[in-house]
Amino acid sequence: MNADEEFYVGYLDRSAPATSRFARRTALGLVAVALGLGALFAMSQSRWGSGSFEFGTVRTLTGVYRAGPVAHLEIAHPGGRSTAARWLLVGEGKHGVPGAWARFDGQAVALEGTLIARGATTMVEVAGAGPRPDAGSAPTGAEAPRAHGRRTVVGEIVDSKCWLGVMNPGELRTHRACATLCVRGGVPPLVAVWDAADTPGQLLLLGAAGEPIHDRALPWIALPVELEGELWQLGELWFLHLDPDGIRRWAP
Amino acid sequence: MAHTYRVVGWNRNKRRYDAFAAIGIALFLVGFVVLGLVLDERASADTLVLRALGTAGFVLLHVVLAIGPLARLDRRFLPLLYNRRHLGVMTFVLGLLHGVFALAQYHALGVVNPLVHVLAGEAPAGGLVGLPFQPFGVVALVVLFLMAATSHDFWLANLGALAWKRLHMAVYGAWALLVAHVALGYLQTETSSLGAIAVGVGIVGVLGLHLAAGWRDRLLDRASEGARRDGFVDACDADEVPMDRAKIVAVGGERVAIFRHAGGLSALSNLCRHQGGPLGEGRIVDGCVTCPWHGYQYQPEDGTSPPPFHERVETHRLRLVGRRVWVEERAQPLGTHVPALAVAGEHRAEPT
Ligand code: HEM
Ligand code: FES
Repeated sequence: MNADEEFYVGYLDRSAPATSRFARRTALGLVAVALGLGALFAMSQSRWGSGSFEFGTVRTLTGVYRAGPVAHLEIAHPGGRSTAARWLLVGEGKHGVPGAWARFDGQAVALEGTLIARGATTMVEVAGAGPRPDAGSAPTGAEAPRAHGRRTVVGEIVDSKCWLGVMNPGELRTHRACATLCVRGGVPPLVAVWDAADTPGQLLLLGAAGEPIHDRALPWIALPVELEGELWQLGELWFLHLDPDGIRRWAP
Repeated sequence: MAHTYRVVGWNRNKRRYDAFAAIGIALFLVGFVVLGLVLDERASADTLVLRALGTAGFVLLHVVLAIGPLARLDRRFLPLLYNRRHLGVMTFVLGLLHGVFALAQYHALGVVNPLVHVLAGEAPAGGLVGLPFQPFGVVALVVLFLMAATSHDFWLANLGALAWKRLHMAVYGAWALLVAHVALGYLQTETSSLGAIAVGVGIVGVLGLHLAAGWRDRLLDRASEGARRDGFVDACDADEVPMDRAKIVAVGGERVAIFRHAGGLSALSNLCRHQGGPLGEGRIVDGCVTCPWHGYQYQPEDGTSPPPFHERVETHRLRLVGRRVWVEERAQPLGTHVPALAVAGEHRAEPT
């Protein structure tokens, strides 16, 4: 009997050999097609970031708290380095540091946190308790930022926390909503520079007078943009000061 | 509305079907994540799991949509249709896990309620491709939920076959929403064209199979629409209907199945009361017309399910003119007994 003459009634357990043979074969065929499509999707992934996040590892760090231009911890000689390091600070979840921590500005503090790093930039997700005064590390004199002149760069505005390593990829369309929420919550916006020939690849975004511009940056997040502004440097941190009205959509 | 319904109960075929599907899904998920990790050392396991779940749900939906037209094109695919509803529920579960994971990753722990943010968190970026992609996923998930929740025969009995069928046609809407979800989100992110190729293969496959099945049905309908006289339509030659089988004919835009059984020829509406399966592709089993999809049965002369069931399909009167069988265009009221048309002589027993 061939499958066309057999009649399959699902609730009858009686087996119809040709029908079940065909069913098994077509079911395997469908699974193979599904796995093939899945493989195409899996192989299409290429936009991975190179950041890292020490999820689950909490370190105690000491240094001088700097509330501006972007909250960071100035650490005297991390790992025996001769120069000071400046590690950006953010809160837990999708939050920047609370405004109240500005009272520690210029003071020696200790804090618990988890490290996030990408390229030359290191960031600390500060644990809930926040910084506390720390008599051990002596405050140093504040270093002045250095101006590097006017620059035009092409790239993408991202939230620094995700892009530096908490999410991967922490950029582009799929991450637009998340990045918007982070920047709204106070995470510093950062420009990931695509044509980083005469500028570093990661620039913290500030207003023309060096003020925070979180809300003005929101509409441009995760889109290709062209930005013109003044390049500044403070230790290993780089900044672009610009008038947010001058931000333009960039098309290749 | 009737609160009694017939359960297509658990049995060996159903369990085998589900086990097969579950193994396929597990292979897909593990394969996706492992392949991602192997292909690029920078890949993140979190993102891979999120993507594996979404992709598995999306691909499974294509399989669900392909089975219908496959079974119409070739009845040997019918066993795949038998338990298709469980595949629909599995699609929903995969989509739900993916959606919850996305909500936790991308929308939680912020200054806005995650449920608000998933819908309104992304500002349109200009033009059609600038539309936020996640709301499309949310609406699709809601549609998949409604279908999964009402997939049981209890709802079929209580909503009525027509309302149920209409609700479940929304699967095509969910599919379109998900194509937009992927095209506006993931495909805008990746530079590789492989993802777009996979989505394109899915679209062409689903549309192509539906067009092919619809085309074939139309050809059959055209071929069978004959002359008409005082309410009757010339349907077929009496010899064309094999024993215990039917010939499907188009009569006034509706399909009617003319069955040959021990008592002679009887005509019934081709639409099964259960989920609209094609009765004329079924068979006479134990004297009853038996639906090829899930095996609902009807007595050929009155279109009524044998006791204790009470599903009913319309019957049509038949008339013999020479060797030609004519079908009355107007259906008889539900439950009307129409004596079988006795046909003398031989019939060719080959299937149509
Ligand atoms: C609450 C509902 C949903 C939300 C919030 C949501 C969110 C997302 C997000 C954020 C992405 C991008 C992930 C990334 O690549 O980083 C995505 C992609 C995707 N989603 Fe959804 N989604 C939802 C529902 C669904 C449903 C129901 C399905 C299918 C059954 C689905 C299938 C996909 C597919 C195939 C992709 C592309 C692969 C990927 O990037 O993960 N989504 N979704
Ligand atoms: S459609 Fe389910 S038995 Fe006919």
